[in-house]
Amino acid sequence: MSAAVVTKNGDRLQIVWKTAILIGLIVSFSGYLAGLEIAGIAGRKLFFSFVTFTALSMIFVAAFRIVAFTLLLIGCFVCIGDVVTELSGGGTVMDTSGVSPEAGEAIFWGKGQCHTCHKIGGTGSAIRCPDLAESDQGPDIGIRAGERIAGMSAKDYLIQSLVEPDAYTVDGFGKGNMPKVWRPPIALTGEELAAVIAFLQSLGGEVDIYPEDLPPEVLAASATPPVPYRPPPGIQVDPVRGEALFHDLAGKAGCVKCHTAKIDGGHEILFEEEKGLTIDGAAVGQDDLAEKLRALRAAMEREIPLLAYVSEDGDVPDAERAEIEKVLSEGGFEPIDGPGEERPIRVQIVPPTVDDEAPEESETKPAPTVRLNDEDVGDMEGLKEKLEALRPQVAAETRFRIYFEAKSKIDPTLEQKIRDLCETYKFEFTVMARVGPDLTGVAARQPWEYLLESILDPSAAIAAEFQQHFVTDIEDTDWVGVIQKETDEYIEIVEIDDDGNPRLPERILKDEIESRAIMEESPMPGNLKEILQFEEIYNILQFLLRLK
Amino acid sequence: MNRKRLFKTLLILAAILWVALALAPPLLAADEASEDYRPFFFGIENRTVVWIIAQLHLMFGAFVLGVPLFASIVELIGMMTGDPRYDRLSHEFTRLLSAAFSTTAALGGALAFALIGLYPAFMNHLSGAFHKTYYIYAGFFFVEAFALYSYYYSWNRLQGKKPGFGLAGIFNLFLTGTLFAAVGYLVGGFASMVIESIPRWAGSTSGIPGGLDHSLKIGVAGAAVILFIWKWSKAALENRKWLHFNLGIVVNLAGITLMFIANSWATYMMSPPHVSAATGMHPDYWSEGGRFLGTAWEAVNNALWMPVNIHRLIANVAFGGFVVSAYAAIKYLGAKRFADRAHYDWMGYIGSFVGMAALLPLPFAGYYLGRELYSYSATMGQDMMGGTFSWTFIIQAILIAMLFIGINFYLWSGLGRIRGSEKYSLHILVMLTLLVICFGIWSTPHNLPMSAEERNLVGSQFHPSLARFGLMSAKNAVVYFIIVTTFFSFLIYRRANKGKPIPFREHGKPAIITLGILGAFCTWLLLNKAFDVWHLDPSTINVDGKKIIQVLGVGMSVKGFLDLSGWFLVVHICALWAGIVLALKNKGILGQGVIFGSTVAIVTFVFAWYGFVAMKHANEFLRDIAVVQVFITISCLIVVTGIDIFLFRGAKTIAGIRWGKMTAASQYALITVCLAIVLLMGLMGYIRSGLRKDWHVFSVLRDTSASAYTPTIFEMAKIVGFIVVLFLGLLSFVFWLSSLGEKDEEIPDEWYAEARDEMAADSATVEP
Repeated sequence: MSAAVVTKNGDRLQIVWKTAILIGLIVSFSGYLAGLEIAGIAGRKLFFSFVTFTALSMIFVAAFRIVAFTLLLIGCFVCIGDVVTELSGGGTVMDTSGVSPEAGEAIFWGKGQCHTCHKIGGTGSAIRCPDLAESDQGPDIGIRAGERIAGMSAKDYLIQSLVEPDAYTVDGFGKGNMPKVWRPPIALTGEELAAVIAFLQSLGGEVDIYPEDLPPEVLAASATPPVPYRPPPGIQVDPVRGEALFHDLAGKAGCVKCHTAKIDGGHEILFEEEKGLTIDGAAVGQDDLAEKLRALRAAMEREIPLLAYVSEDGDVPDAERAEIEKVLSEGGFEPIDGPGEERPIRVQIVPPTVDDEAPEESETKPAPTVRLNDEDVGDMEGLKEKLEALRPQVAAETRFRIYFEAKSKIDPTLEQKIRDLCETYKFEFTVMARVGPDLTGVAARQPWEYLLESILDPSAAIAAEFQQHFVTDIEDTDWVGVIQKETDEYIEIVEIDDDGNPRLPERILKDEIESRAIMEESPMPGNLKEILQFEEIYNILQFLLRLK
Repeated sequence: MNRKRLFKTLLILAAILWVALALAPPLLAADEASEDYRPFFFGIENRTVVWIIAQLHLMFGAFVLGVPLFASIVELIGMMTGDPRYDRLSHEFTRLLSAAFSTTAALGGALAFALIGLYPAFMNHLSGAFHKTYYIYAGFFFVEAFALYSYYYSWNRLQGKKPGFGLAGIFNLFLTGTLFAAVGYLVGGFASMVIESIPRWAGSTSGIPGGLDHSLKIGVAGAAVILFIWKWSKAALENRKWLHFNLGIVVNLAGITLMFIANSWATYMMSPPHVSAATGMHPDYWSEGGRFLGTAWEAVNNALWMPVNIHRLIANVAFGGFVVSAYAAIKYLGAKRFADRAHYDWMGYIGSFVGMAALLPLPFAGYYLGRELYSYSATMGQDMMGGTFSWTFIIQAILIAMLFIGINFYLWSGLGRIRGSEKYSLHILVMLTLLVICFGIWSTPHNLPMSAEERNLVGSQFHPSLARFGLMSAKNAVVYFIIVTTFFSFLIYRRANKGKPIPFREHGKPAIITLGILGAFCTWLLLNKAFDVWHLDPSTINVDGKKIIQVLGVGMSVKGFLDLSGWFLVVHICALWAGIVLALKNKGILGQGVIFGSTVAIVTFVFAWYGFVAMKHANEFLRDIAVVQVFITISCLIVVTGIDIFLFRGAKTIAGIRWGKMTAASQYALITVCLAIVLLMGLMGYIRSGLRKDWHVFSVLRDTSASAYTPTIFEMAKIVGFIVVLFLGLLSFVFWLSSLGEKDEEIPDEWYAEARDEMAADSATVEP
């Protein structure tokens, strides 16, 4: 009796099952052919699902009934997952790169998780925090933001709302509801924060946000979480060599022409003797060359390393090259070949004494520059002695460049003393304008990928402060350079010469400016990846990564 | 037999070796320690590999933890009732454990290998904080292995009594004494908690003195040991079955400890200690490089550790019960002999009963976990309930609907084997309708997916009435109603074949004392919460307590409105005592009705409305409301069960249960319930792990691998579906393996002779 009941129930189940499959097949196949959607799912998907189930039903005989039933349930679970994914829009991926309202919108509904508490009018459902569209809480957020706190612009209000959410909360919404989205776990980057603000500004207001508008501590803390840095396999990376390249004014990189960077703090003043140490093609064969070189040797023996190199644009005949090498050899210098035959010859002279005694160290020492730290500058007597010693050994027209560590404001009294000292000893003195960002602590602010990109493609991301401007005055004179100073009356622009050295600032009255535009190209040379060897690029990067 | 043992021994040795190697990450990671990630074979994503192995390990872990829990419960019932069926059932499932245990260990080893191989930097970090727990884990692994095999192989030897002082008797004396001491210590702790709460009701902030707390714990533990020695020590020395049961307790304690340790690793990843969104990583506990500087215990005792422990422990009991019932269902459908069919029907009932008993409190534990998760990180909580993962809870609602409707359907089908149950047909129809409505509400999203045309038609993104169903107040109300309804189904089933209850007073003092204790406990629980609410400073939940609001046309302060919820607790306390008094006055059914009525009225109807008002004026108070709802429902389950135990005890049985008279559909319901809980484990594993987003260790160690994104729900469904197929396949293989050895004797016909006679009588009635 009971066995009969079981069998009867089983038979009924089979009939229901087969009928359901048949109906499913007909409906889904019709939908598939007609290209229709059924309950939000493409007919194709439904059809294939039912084909699978039909195949399963073929083994729906007594012995495998339970297996088929189990697989059917699991199949249903997967289908529900598919349907829910489509309903929730979970499969769509929006572009969240760059600072734009579109990117901000994607972050608002995605990574930023803003939508879990805020809605925007009819979009979204959260009620924990204010509706950001026009509602009983006020006009659209782009407008409302400028009216919230007297004297605070919409941009500043939105920045404050995202950076310090509890600084001001709307009536009826308590403190502590909103996390600082620039900190973990959400950890939006500065760019992403700016994009969200741009999106919110676009809701009725004017978009004028840049990542640089955000507080520096936010930019530092919200920097993209570092991908662990790994130098490429097969090369030996040496930060000391990188440092040498960085500071080598006459070298291939010469980053210090525009950038400053220090690890140990304190002011740093770099001296470089230019004239008299450069041997160009015209100097070869001149009588005083050997004399000059001997003077240089003497200077180096007094532990004042000076740079000397031979440079020539274009091909250098072998005879001349031999002559140069001979003269250098007589002077006690050892010539070093440049990076490639197709490029101008650059022969760097390395002090042989240092080379002999510590060959490895010699390559890593920043030979071309005289580096004086705070103590040297502070001890004016010491500086005086050095200049006195240097004077008789170099030509009268020698010109010293003095680089101030740009980030720190050097004491004006101290600067004046140095000026006076240089005047006394007939050295020309120039305070170089800052045309590149100070890189002190850059590794703490930026990920290694950013630094590498900045070397290889400097124009990819340019800090607003160092963008190049193209300025034309009413007399059709053009300037291309970095604005060092701007007042209501004038601008001071610093141009870069053909050698990559900053010129003295030029002052242009605003009344005389015909046009002014921001250029997309960075003032930094974009050909470093061609000039530098692969290993050298990573040496510099490794040095920069130490600047924390 | 020897060959089988050799095979098992080899399997265990392999597993131990595997685990031992896995527990020495530096050994393996040393040569390539500089890499954070390493690729797997064939371009398969690292995350997918770890996901599959971890989930499989978790499922087998749940099996080897849930089934011994089930076996011990059943063995204890067998010892108390003397019914040999329970002992056989317990033995049958313990046999499955030996092969399943090795498989679990092997999967654990595979998981450790995969993590070390694919995520060396992460494992280095984890080992830095947890390496000390590895050795404790290994130690307990041995304890569980030895206890499990002792438990299984000594089954026949440790039966009955053996007079005299044997080694086994002394061992049992020691084990039981220790267990009594432990239980006494916990009871002492609870007593001190109760004493501590009473001054707090008067607003005092001074807690119980530390010395008193300690004295209470030690005192009650000592008293428990003395009581044991005085009353049961002789029995413990002689009763061998008792020793066997205690071995089962050791298996379970070791298993639970292993699970707790493993949970600490997983929960540390979600809630690393001393990290917050507001202040970041506390410098006393974290190095600048993100290395944990605290002690191993501080890492273990993280915010989500205990909530996950409790949730998993209860869930594992439910899992064990439902696996047993599904196994019984399959056996039932294939059974040829009447006695077999009757036995597997009975087994299915026992399995589902244990599963259901654990299922009812599971939502409370889940709520506790969710609440703690939200408290640890509002970001993670919001992401769970309102963000990326909110849609997964629609799927969760569907699976839980399968669970509850499946188990209710099974119970209602079970009424078919009880003569006299026809009178409940209307009850069942009403309950089914209500359950379907409740699940409809539960699975309604707040933000209905609508096309632009539909949105224009409705005039809003939200449906004017259905949108309310998407909010927590409505969902909480129906969830508790579902729990109460399922409990009610079970009560109907229990009393279906019972006649009129005997007068309650005839049960004597035990009934009065039991109901008194249960009533007192529930009163303390509810009153404690009521005082919490009354002493709540509204400013701590960012509301102005003095603000006047309109509630049902009456003006009252926000504080007064919040205090109302405390008064509802008092109303429910009165209902509980009214129910108890009515039961003692021989009106137990009416008493149960009063308690049910109060529960449903307050939890479902009053608080559904109250929640919406609170949401408008004091949103953060919703958390307290949910706790109030939980406590009222729990107290209802406790007191009604207490009354029910005595209510039909000794009542005349109208007819015996016709075991073996179940429909095939009811057995498929059991299989469905088992599948639902396995799928739920997979789904919740995805949610729990996915909530960390792209962090290995939330807010501390970022996942910078290519697979740091959150997979879509569809991807999850495919992978979880695959894992479940794999798990069921492996489990079937394990079942088959264990069937290769010794066979159980046939089910004796006399066990179910009464059922056969009842069915024969039915046949005679139907076919005159």
